[in-house]
Amino acid sequence: MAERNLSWLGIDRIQWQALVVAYLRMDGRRAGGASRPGRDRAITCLPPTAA
Amino acid sequence: MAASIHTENLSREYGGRLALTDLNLEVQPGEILGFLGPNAAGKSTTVKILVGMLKPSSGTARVAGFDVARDPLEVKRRIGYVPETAALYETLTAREYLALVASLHHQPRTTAQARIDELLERFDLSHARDQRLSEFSKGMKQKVLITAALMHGPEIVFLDEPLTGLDANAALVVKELIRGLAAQGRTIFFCSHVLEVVERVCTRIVIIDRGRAIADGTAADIAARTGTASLESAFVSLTGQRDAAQVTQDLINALSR
Repeated sequence: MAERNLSWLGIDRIQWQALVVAYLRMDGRRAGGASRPGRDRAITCLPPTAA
Repeated sequence: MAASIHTENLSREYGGRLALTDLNLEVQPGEILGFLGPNAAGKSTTVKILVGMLKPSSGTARVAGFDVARDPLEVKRRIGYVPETAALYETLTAREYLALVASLHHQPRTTAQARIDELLERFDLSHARDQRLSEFSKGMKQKVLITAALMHGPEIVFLDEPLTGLDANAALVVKELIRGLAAQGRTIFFCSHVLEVVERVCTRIVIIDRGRAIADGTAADIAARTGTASLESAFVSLTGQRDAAQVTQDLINALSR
């Protein structure tokens, strides 16, 4: 089930873990996210993930 | 040899307005293609389609042998992309950010760390590798973006104004890097408004205007075809809607009122 959800997102387990670690680290630093509005766009610099 | 980039009648529409019209393009491995055009000509739209960020309205595009609309992930595995304006995760350090990118490319951690350290040193960023990206200057961030795009050894590299913010030394390194990557058989798709750089670095130039390709060849070919002496003059002759001197005079007049 989890694999299917990740596949729908266009990523695999390793990529998911890398993203979770990065986001937790950023949240831990109390700022988090991209440097400008529209934080989802930040992912566009981080291929290969879903379009 | 199969083309690295192949487009056929590639078009993109935004709310009824055509930003890109029937682009037919073939780029071979080892080519350094300069992709030029005035503002809003369709350059960024083209790049975004080719890197799989935007779907075409019609036509097809194949990058590294994969259809960008049907297999965007296969395309993304084989390309590097330095966007014109990029958002970085600024609360991460340079090493953390690059390690994240490496993980997304499935690079083993030890190999990735060694590579990150080496690339940061080459870009003279070793001293700042454990600093947060929010503390980086614009040029330093640009170096991180370029490093991130090249870390996994992509077959095709898309560079959208890659020299923005770089000092003369770093710009020189990037220009040499582009030539070196092409010599290894990698394809470079280079968008820039700095025509002198394009003229010096690129082996072929395509100019687009209002969504259509209007010139294709070497800088010398394009200049000869337009009866001009330089790429800059050829560019103005092909895309300039008004005389630059007249526009300048009108602006000065307007500011003097």
